[in-house]
Amino acid sequence: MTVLQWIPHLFLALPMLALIVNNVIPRARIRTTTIAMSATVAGAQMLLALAGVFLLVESGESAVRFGMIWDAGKNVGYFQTDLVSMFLLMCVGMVALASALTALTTIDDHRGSYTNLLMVMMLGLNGMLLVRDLFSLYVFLEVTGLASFVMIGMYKSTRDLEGAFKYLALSALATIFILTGLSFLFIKAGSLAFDALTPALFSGAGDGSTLLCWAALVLLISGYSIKSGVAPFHSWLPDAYESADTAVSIMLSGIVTKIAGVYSLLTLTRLFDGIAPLKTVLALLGMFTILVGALLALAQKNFKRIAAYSSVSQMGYILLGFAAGTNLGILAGLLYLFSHSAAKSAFFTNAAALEKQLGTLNIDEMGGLQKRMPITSGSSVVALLSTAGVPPFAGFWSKLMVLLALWSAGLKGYAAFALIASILTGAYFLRLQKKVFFGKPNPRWDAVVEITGGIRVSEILLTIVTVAVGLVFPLLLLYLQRAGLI
Amino acid sequence: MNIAIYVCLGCMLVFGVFSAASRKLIISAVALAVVSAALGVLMYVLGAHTAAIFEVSVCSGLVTVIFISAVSLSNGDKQIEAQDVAVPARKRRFLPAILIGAGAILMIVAWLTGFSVGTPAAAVSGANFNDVFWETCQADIFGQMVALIAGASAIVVFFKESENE
Repeated sequence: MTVLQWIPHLFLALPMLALIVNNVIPRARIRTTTIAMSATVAGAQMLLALAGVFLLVESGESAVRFGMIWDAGKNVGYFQTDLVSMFLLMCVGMVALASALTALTTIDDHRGSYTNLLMVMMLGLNGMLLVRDLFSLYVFLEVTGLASFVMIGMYKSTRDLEGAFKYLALSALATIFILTGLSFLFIKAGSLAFDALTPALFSGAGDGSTLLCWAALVLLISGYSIKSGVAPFHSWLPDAYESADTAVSIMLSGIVTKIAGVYSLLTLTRLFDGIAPLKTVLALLGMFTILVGALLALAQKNFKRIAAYSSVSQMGYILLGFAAGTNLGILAGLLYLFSHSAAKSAFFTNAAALEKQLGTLNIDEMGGLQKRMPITSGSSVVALLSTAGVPPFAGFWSKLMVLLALWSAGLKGYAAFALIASILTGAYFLRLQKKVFFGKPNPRWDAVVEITGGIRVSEILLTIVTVAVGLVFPLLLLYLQRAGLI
Repeated sequence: MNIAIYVCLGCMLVFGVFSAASRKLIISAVALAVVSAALGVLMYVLGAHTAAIFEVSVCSGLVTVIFISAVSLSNGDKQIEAQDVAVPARKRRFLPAILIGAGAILMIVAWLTGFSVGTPAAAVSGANFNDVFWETCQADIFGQMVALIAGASAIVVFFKESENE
């Protein structure tokens, strides 16, 4: 077996191994190192997936199929990884690393449970990215949802439980939609394997079972939209992000909604490529989401709620990229997902730093913190500029690619809207920066000092990623072009 | 055979609504068990014998036992009944009507569109146990194993006293 064939096994084996170690060794002995162990697993996944991306491009293969670890080397393939999933596995590792580093400071109680749940969440996300049929995708989606629900309500305060309950209630609704949609598709296709689901299922006008396929598509889009928190299905998201521990919010905002919702929608567009109404629906959802998220972010006073609504808004750009329906559009959507994951994780890490040092997240009570917390301020400014699409940060290139993809696909109106809506992104983030880090210093925070420990490391790492990816982006595009991928 | 299918679907609809609308948790759990049993019969009639046995034994049997044990141990039934007094009966009355109405609409749509359930059953009935539960579903079994671990973690987080308490 080659290295490329071994790497995918580790995405399931490493979190499972960490789960076992975390529960076999007595809790008192492992208490101080348990989160460090989960950070190591996340970091290892990030590096392995990065290596996997390059190995896959160099090998010229489109995908690697594999079974469970005891089937290694045999010709079985319950799982599959391609460039898209390998790239997203890297994003999962990056965000999980940021979450674990933040948790070193923010989580004191429930450290063992946090590690258990983070590993379960990683298994759920990795599983979603590796499976080859829609039902297995649903199974791992539920695993991710269950871990998210428990993590949100982990501290059992009224606010935590309210956020967790809202998430649970809307997830249950999404589950009903998704399962009903899957059963309708199963009736028509006789299988839910990706290979069996093709646009041909939708041909045959007047046929009752074709009508079921369209109903399935509507139900699946609705279910996955709830999971991704796009407008108008976003009501659970700000409450869940605000009430959860910031280390958990980083996972939810940075990657869970992206994989559970957006990746599932991407899977639908890839399976049913050529179904025009699907792309139109995604484009309209994307536009509405950008507008609603940005306008609601402008009205918030809590740092985490602004970041949460911003997350809703930015999801719209990813959907617009996928709505273009071309290779360039999918690549643009994925790169936007990556840059947004890095920037949003940085924002939530900033929130953790502010909450730890100030004890509040109300931006009206802050002001002039730039001198007191220069690293947090710098990290926040870089994340703002990247999200707003200012060069040379990662967000600039990904937003540019989304616009180019829409323009080249003939969706010029959507491209113009996306460009104009960027002003709204700049507006709510400039307001946030002005109120928190600049403006008149609040004497109440004279004794405040910069955050240390895992949160600081996380802030610096995410800022380096955002800047470095922005700087090497043209080279990356040339590399992908040489490999024939764009 | 068609009559059996529609009787099972009707039972599932009525007892499902009853389960959601009932004021007592134990009665809800029993109604849910009846839904699972009807689903088991439906699966058997449609030819998915192995799945039917699992549905009846696990969902209708084991899960009901766990539900009833949990309700009895937590004494939650009395608490729910006490809270229930505050909910206006007028609001509760609409729920069964809405749910049964939705079910009826689905059935009419199924009838009008010539809904057929023969194909998937044929695909499953010919396969042996090993094929159904291991060779074709290892990814799902792994996922469900992880879901069980997540459930266990949930119980630890929500029901175990905090380390500092």
